[in-house]
Amino acid sequence: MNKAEKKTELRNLLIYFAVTFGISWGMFFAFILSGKPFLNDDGSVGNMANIICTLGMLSPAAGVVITRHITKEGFKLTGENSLMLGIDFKNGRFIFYILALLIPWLYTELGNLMSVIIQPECFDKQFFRTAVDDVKTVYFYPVMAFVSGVYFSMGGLGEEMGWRGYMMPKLIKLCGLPKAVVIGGIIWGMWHWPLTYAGHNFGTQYRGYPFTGFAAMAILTVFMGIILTCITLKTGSVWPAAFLHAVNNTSPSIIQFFINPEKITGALTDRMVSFVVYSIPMAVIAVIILTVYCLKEQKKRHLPKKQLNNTLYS
Amino acid sequence: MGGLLYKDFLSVKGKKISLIILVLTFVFLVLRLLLPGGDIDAADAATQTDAGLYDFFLWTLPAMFVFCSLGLPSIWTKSLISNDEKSKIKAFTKALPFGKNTYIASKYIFIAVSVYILMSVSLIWCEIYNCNAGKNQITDLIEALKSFLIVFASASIVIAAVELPFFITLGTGKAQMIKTAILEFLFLLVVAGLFFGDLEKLEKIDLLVFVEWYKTHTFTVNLWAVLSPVISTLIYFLSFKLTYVLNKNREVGIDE
Repeated sequence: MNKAEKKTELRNLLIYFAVTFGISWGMFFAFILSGKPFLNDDGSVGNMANIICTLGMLSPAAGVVITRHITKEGFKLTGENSLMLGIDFKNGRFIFYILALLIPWLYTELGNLMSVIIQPECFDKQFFRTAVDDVKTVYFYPVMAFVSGVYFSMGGLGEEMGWRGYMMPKLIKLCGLPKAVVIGGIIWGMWHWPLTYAGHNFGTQYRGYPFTGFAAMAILTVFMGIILTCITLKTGSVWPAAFLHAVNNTSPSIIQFFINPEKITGALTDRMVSFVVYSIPMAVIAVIILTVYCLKEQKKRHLPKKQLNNTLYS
Repeated sequence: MGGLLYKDFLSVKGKKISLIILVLTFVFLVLRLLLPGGDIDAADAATQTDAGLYDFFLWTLPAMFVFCSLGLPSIWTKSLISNDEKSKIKAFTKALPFGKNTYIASKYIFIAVSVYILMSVSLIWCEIYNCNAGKNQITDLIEALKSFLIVFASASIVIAAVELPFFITLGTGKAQMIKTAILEFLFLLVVAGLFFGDLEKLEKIDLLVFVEWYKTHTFTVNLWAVLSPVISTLIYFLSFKLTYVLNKNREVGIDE
């Protein structure tokens, strides 16, 4: 890639950031400044905040459409510099669609298991009764998360079209995969900051609010961004990333129904500490995925350039 | 494939419909923000307080939107094929850079994507309703509607799975006749039911009873929400395979 091409890619990327951050931060700040409560008394996200989050999740997709219109990059559905909206199950790619559903289940389950291992007394066999009436629903929950993750993935798709479908390919071209996942993850985390400030991700009652929340969100999005980027590059489509994102947002864990927060004591009562413990398995999985991906790409570098491009963006 | 999908999008006046849906969604959002609901039993207080009246009036909009939007794909199955017949697309498929399989797949993908988008917009409408609604039975009704959105979308997919093989294989003329005959038969069944059936059962239908049932049968509701999309996707895939087999060795007639 020559200097002029790099300059163009950087300019397009900056336009995308200006549009996306402009739309979503405009909405988020308007809501925060309106003084309406973001959280309900029980700590759940309020109905008004919910619609702001839903519309906010669609803004990266709107950002892509507006940017591509301004930069005249076109609206190709598949291939290089496209919207990456194609679905191709051939050459074993369907495996990544299945993995997209299973990986969030794995790391949320392991994350909750970590909390139970650190503090076994918080495991309460009867606690699920406060959340659901029927124990069958608890065991069925991951399957429900998979189905709703696929069918109600519009929010996830909205974000992934922007972050993985537009930002990441450009960042990878500009600075290579390892740097791109870190920079892209931090930018994605920064995009969440107004919501983190309002209490969407961790509430507002934690040590170092809101700055530790900002840092935690940026780290979380770096690790999650690694998984999402690798799965997007392997399939050449943003759909599996959208499914993964949507399933992740439903936190498809069975163990969570058996963790009684009232029985948690000590350092784990702080939302930030419990979040760090919960996120360790996801971070480990992300690092493993990135390492395997980079090693495989290293091997492919011996292939002709044209073939390598096809594997990256087909 | 992308080109075929874009052609289908234009042939059902997709740009116009998208714009209308966007404007309607924005208007509904503004209406909901201007007319807040209240924490009351809206069913009783609908005529007594403004908040109850607003909730009572506004809940009909997302409900109507859900049923109208998920009915659209059934209308589109006909217009997709009839527009192709008018422009003789099928006659030129052998000369175009895609196979018959791709042509048939594009119709199925277009309808599936439409249902996905319309269901997602329906969900946004339900969220918009909830964003300024009070805690009352009508809000519970909207929650129930949200839970059953997947089931409604699955029904829409199954209807398309039944219609598409007829429209693609037989053409719009014959397929429309069959569709009309089936609808008339169903209409006759309803009329027969009204004349000879037990009408007292209809009097007992109460949406609030349904809401109570929904609240106490979470497992059944969730089971339906999981099974219906799986079954409908399977039926849809089988329908696609059947249409492909039926049209595989079929020569295109001069009149098509």
